[in-house]
Amino acid sequence: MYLQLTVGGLLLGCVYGLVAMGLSLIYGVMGIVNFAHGAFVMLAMYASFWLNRFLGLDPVLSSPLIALLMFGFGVLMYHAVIGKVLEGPFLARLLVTFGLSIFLINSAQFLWSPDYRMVENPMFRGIIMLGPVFIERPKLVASIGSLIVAGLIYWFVRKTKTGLAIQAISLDRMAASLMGINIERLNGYAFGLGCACAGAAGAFLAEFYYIFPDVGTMFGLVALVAVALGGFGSTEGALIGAILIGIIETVGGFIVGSEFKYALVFLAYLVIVILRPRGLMGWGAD
Amino acid sequence: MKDTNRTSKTLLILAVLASIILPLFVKARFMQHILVMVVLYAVLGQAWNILGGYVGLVSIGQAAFFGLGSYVSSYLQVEYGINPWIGFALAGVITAVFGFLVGLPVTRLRGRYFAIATIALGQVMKVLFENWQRVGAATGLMLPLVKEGLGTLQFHTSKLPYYYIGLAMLGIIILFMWYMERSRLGYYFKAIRENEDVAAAMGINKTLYKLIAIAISAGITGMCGTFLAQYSLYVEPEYMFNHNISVTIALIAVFGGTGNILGPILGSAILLPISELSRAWMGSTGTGIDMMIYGAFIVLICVYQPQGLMGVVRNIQARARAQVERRGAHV
Amino acid sequence: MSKEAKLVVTGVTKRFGGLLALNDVSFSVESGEILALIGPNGAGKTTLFNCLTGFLKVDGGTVEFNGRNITNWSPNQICSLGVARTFQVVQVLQGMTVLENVMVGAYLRNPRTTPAREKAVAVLERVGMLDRADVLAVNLTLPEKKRLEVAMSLATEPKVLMLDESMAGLTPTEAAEASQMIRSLRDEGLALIVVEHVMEAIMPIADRVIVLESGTKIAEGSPEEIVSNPRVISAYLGDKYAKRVVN
Ligand SMILES: Nc1ncnc2c1ncn2[C@@H]1O[C@H](COP(=O)(O)OP(=O)(O)OP(=O)(O)O)[C@@H](O)[C@H]1O
Ligand SMILES: [Mg+2]
Repeated sequence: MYLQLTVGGLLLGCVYGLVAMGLSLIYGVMGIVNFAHGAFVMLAMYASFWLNRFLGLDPVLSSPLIALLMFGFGVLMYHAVIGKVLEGPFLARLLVTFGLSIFLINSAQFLWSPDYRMVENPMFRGIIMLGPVFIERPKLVASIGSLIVAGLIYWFVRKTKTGLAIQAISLDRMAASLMGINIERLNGYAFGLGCACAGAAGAFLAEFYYIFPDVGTMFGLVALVAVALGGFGSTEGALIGAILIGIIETVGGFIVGSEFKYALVFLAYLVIVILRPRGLMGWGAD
Repeated sequence: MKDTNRTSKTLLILAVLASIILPLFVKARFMQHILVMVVLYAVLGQAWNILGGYVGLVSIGQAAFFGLGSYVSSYLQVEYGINPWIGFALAGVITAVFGFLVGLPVTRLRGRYFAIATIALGQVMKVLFENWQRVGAATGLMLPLVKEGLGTLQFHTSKLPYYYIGLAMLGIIILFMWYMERSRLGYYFKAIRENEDVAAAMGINKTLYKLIAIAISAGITGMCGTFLAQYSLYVEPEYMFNHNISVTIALIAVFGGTGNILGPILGSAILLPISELSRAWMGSTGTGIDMMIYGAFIVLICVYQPQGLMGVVRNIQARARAQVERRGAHV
Repeated sequence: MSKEAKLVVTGVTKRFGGLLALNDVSFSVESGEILALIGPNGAGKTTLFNCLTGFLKVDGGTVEFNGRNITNWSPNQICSLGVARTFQVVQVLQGMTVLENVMVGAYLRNPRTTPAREKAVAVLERVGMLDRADVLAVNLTLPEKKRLEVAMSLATEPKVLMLDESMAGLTPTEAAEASQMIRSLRDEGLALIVVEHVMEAIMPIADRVIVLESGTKIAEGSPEEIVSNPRVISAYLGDKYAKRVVN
């Protein structure tokens, strides 16, 4: 039973991990805690839903497209909003994404009603047996897909010229700008990449998850907790934190009752962060 | 200098009189409702301000204290028939103690780690109350309808008595903060906000003062919870522990300007009517357009007015002063 | 202020990972004395201050104040006891006025506002900053901020005062004023530990000098003894003084 649950948690954790990675990337580069990240996931889920409804595209197949769309959306958001508060006071930086999140969630509610929706006839359905463990196929696909995208982003940031420039910014903004790096444009890319993570994750989730305006909120908060657990700005930390949370959520939820699973996740955050004020592997400053 | 002092005193007296007299002419229940919300959130914003504006601990989980306070008085009333005024006082004490206890570990965190911890706290409290059968779990508690009056803290014919009670609370907290700003407590709070190392080097026990701040903030917020419970006559986790309450409280303070007394009042006086009116005009059926406007408004504030309204006021003052000085130099 | 005070440091050791930042450092300082603490960059002077004032936990050794063991007490407790310090990288309360900054210090011994303000005004007058009382600290120049920091420390009415490069970046006139000030504090009975790179400023006023190098105390004595100590010259003063002379 526990093996079953752990595997379930692991799969869930991978999807959380992708969301968290985007969050961590954005934080690392521009110091913004993106409370709207969950709303971005939600938007991506709706986008997948409509692509499926009107073009018959399966969410998993449309995930690259969704990621691309969300990248563009993120770049836009950066230049319209986020970039304008970067130099502002701490509170403005903290709360602007709250406003964005409220705006997006309620726009979705206004445009598409609060109804729960589901993608019809998803391509991946049913269960496969792996030894003694049942695995839901869409979740397996989602977690593998998430890992692939996470790997791609990781590769992009570590190996390409643009990625290295983005890293340079996250290490030392001053020096980066002195080296002739166009910070504004790269910040935009970084924000776009973060959104693309949320986008891909949203597409994978749309394969098997209910879609409604508030659906992203919990994903966003959980991802935030994962990032904090890993230590803000540490991409690998975010991934590990997310997997840990996936397991806490499923295994712990089974033990104390699933209505308490998120309470458990937040309690885990409180406990860990109080014991290690900078996250499990974080050594970043405040 | 004397002149500005006198004008500000006159303005203050006018504002106090206006806040007492003008509402008497407000007859529409909905308008009365807005007034009640404005004073309630002004108090809540002020409580947030003590912690976030003065000490620099940004909380986005005030709903934890708010909800707890609302349940303390309501439960005592429903279960044991205890008078809401006693519940009101107990709510303050219990949430203050709760804030203190929570603060023991949490105030060790800084910046966004603290902010996220408060979010987590709010969520945990909500889930706990949603599943706590004794206090009605997700359905919550209905307060018994009793004869209206100051003694029972229930008013049915008009909402204005609630307004005046809220106004009294606001008055008390303003007096407290006025005193605080001029005392060691206020100076120490600000010192901790500005630089914790300097504060420690000046002999300030920063842990203690952070705990004092969170206890005060929590206690006041808890009493506001009782207030809303008496106003709505029911409590329910989704309502009292709602994350939006936490966000709205923080926003009011930020919109008005933090770290001063006037900010949260201005913030509440402007933000609450906008949110209530847009809800009434456009959003009563849950289309979400009211919150859409609200969200957009927040974004605009953060982008274009990050110092809050008090920032604008200060800028204008500074410009006026500079002008006077320049004129003085010419003479 | 003139009460006798004595700070005794015995065998203080501090490690940062593999780096031995302080190695078995011992010394003492008492009322009416200026102890200069010198040493090349990275010698561990600031680390020593941090260990003595509770900002860092020591890995070994003891700090005693008037016979009381205060090792690893918290910074605020140590300050309350009468041991104050300034920071090398200047630290003030940026968003508060000069007067308010000093009042924060003064509140330690004067819980009520009026006496605290009076005390702060007196201290500001003493350091010659009264005319800047209403300026926001963020708007001060660097030397002014340093002076403000000293004023804040003084407002806590310390018996031992530790200054970490308070004269760095001052003009010669300002440095002379600062020296004068330090001397008068000593004459009032304070014990002072002064870290300074500006030798011309510190050597004439120091009663005693200790020299740190790579975390180890390599010499202690009167200024005359120190400048003629071959070990010190080779470790620290030699090329520096030579360069100065050339310039
Ligand atoms: N928090 C820390 N973590 C790790 N190493 C540190 C830390 N603080 C100081 N060090 C190291 O300890 C050594 C001593 O540093 P310290 O700042 O005490 O020197 P200092 O004598 O004050 O030098 P300076 O004259 O440049 O101010 C240096 O090698 C420094 O890099
Ligand atoms: Mg130093």
